[in-house]
Amino acid sequence: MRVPPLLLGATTLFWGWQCGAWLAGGLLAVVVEGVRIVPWRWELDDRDFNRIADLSAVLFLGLIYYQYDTYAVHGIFGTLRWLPLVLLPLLAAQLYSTREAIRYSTLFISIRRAEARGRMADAGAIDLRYPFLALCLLSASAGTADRSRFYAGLCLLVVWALWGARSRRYSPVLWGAVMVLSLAGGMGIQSGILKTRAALEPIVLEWLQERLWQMRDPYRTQTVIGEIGDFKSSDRILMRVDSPRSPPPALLREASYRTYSTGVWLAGSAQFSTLNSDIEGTTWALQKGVGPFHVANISQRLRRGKGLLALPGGTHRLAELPVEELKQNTLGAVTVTNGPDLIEYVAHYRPDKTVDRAADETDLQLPGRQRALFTELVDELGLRGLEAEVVIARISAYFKQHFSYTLVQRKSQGLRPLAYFLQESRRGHCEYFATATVLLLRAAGIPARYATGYSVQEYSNLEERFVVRRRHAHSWALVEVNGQWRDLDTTPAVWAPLEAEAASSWEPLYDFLAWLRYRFTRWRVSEGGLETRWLPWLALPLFLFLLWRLRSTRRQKRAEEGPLPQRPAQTVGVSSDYYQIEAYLRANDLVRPSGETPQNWLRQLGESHRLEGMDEVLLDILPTHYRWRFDPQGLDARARQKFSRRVQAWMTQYATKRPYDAKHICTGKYGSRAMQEQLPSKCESDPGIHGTKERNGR
Amino acid sequence: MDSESQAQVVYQRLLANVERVIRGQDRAVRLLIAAFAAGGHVLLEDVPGTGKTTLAKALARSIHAEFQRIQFTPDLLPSDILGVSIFDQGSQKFCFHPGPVFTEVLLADEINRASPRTQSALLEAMGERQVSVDGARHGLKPLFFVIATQNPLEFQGTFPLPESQMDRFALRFSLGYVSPGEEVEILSDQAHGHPLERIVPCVSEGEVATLRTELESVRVSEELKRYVVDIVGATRSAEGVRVGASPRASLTVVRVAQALALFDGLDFVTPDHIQEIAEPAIAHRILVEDQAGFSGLGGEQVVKEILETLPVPA
Repeated sequence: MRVPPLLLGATTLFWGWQCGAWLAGGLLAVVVEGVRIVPWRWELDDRDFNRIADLSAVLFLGLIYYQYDTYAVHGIFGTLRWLPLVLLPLLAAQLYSTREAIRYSTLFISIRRAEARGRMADAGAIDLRYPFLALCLLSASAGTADRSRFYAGLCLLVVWALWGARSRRYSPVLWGAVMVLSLAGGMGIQSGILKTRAALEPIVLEWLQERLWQMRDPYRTQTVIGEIGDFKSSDRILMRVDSPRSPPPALLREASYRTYSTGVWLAGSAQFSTLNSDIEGTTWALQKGVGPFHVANISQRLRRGKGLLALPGGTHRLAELPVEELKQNTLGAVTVTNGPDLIEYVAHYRPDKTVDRAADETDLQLPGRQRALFTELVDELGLRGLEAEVVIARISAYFKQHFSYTLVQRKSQGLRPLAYFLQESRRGHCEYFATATVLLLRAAGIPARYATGYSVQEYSNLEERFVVRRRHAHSWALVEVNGQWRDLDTTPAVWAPLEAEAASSWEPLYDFLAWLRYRFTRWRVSEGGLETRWLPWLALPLFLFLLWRLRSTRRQKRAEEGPLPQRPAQTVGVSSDYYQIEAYLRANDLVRPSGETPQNWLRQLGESHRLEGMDEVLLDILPTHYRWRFDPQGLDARARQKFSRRVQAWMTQYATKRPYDAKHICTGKYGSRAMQEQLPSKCESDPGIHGTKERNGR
Repeated sequence: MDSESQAQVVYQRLLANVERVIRGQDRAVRLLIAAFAAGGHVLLEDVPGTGKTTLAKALARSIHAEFQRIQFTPDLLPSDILGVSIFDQGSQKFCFHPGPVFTEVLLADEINRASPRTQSALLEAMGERQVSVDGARHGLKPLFFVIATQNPLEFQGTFPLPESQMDRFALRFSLGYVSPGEEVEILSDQAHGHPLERIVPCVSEGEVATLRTELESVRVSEELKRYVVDIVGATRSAEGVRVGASPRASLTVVRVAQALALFDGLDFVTPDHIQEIAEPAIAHRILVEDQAGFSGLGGEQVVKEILETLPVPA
């Protein structure tokens, strides 16, 4: 299906207008319409097309990454808006190459492989021009602010595209009426769709955000206590911790909770309050206090500028934290909003001096169902009436001696999960240990809370600092001794190596890529204003590479307009004397149409009596010319001479029959010697004869 | 060739014999014999009564060859054409009973009246020159030549040949109406019985074999081969064409052009032969777009336009 002239260019300009990207739209228009002016074509083969398709795919992934990274889920619309630019290399390859379509194998790696392995014959090809046009319209719809203008433009372009393909059986008026009707109907449907979209979009986005990008809830945490199976977390690096002057904090706490009920820890009434920063807006005092402080540099990513900070216990002050708002609850959880993608802050902390709210009755509560279990255990361990320090030591020893760590939970036979853990299996992961410790401490009369966060344990030689992965997520107990809260981690120390064993063998590679990404994000965040402008510059080397590849590819001159392919120049029989006859007749305004064979032409001339009855002779001569020209064995020298004589004789005879035409016989080139003497040279200015002279190669 | 070759003599004899029955169809007779010599099958397409069947019968009877005719009907089954294996109680074995396709000249009358399944059975036999029944292969005769006829006007109760199957016919052409004078002659000829009944075979099987052998020695220049390829190639990019002709079309054009050259007493092909054969050999392989089809564009018109615009080697 042919694309009407200038339609593609107009569509790209429309896209540029709707997306507010006039420059990009203009560039696209120049590329897609320039093909009408540019006289050459690239001779690209399948491999070149595959490379260009891969480039488009890389651009597409880059676009998705950038959009998601910058606008999160709202980036879907940004991605859609810029898709024409992504498809441009492939479309340009089609337009500026000798091919008229892109093979499906270029677009789909699966087909490429299937064809390479012979499992699939040629899967066919697709002309990208109309799909590109449709994509431009779709993208324009994502960028549009003014619906009525968009719809008007859309209608115009669609009518333009369909005009050439309309049925000639019906009058244009009828066709136009049908078009108007369908466009009006389309407008009604479109407004309906828009209303539906407006209603559905918030719901879907909300659902996606809830399901996929949930951050830890400082009010409530769901443990997997009671669930069975294998618990594994990813190796993704979440934080980087650098503590230049002291050992790093062993635990980074995100939140702590007070009330336990069947697998769920709740924070209860822990109100958040907004804190004020210093005048620069980067230093936040969480607690009044004096040093000496330990210092830890922590970097972590924020999703859409929001996040829950994982802090060392007893953090008093946060410095170099450029967020707009920071809130802290009474249990020590700190959230930030409106920050950059990556924050790198300095935590000043005193492990021995916590800022959490003092213990009260809630911190001694035991859930009704577990009360008997833990009271019995306290009695069994003889913890009643002992000093807090002694109780803590005994509990630590108890778990250390009798329990082991596992990520695999089996089904408890009739017992409650915690009872099964304490009495039967004696195996579990951190949530079991932390929960049991908290409840055991409370049963012994010591206030305790449940804390979640991360364990800092892995030093990365690559980054020269500690890295915290998702699988380092941990939970432990907080215990109050002498009015100060301190961390009590009863999970066997073997847990970290056990978790590390489950790590993927690709981990070093992932780490390296993660490090590059971290460095890149850091650079990007630090550059600030450049954030939105760097991407096109990043694409520049890709385009330069592509141009270099194409430059080194053979270029082919574009064929003449229309479906006429170039044929190699004539080589056999170029010196046949028959061409003298044709040239002579041409000079007499008897021009052979390029698609007509000499035999048919001469016959027709004979039938219309324009050869003065001499057509029979010519038709008799012609087979010899044909043999000279089209018989691969050719004509021998004698036969050629004979043929030449016959041609000259015919021309002389014809000239005498039509003396008034004799002036047209070209001297020196085409006439007989006798004719040359008779006629003065006049045909030097005859273009027809010159053409033949060149063709004959004389 | 200076003197008349044996092939040319055979052609002249065949032509004269057939023309005793068919009047005013010189072109059609020439094309039919050319396709026969080139070993390609022919589809005759025309309205009823123009002499399609008579032409086919005349050719078949002019050769000392086995002739079969199948009248295609909607209830015709593949086994009616190919043959069937029947259990022989005496020998306790399945015996293959060959169908009418095991002949030398086969007239498939009104081929578009049979179901696609039956059409496919014949067309595959034409393509492969063999028949597979119950897992056993049966080769067809070396001279095997199919003349199929179809009526292009009738749609009721017909199954148009699928495009891919059309490719199996070397040539498709129609006969058209003869001039009034010739029609009068036809009336006179048939005053005392049909001339078809008086026709006697004039060419032996061996002579047909000679014709085919000599055809292979007809030379084709590289330039003309390129011209053929360009014509066929141009059908693929012509406006209004959905699917152009295949390389099989190029092969057929060259081969039938060789036969025409032989008939003209030449031992090389000229551009006139290519142009003569291009339309009947290529047009039926072209699939035009629906839109263009509605506007009256057909394969014939596409080929004609290409021949007019593509510079011919001269």
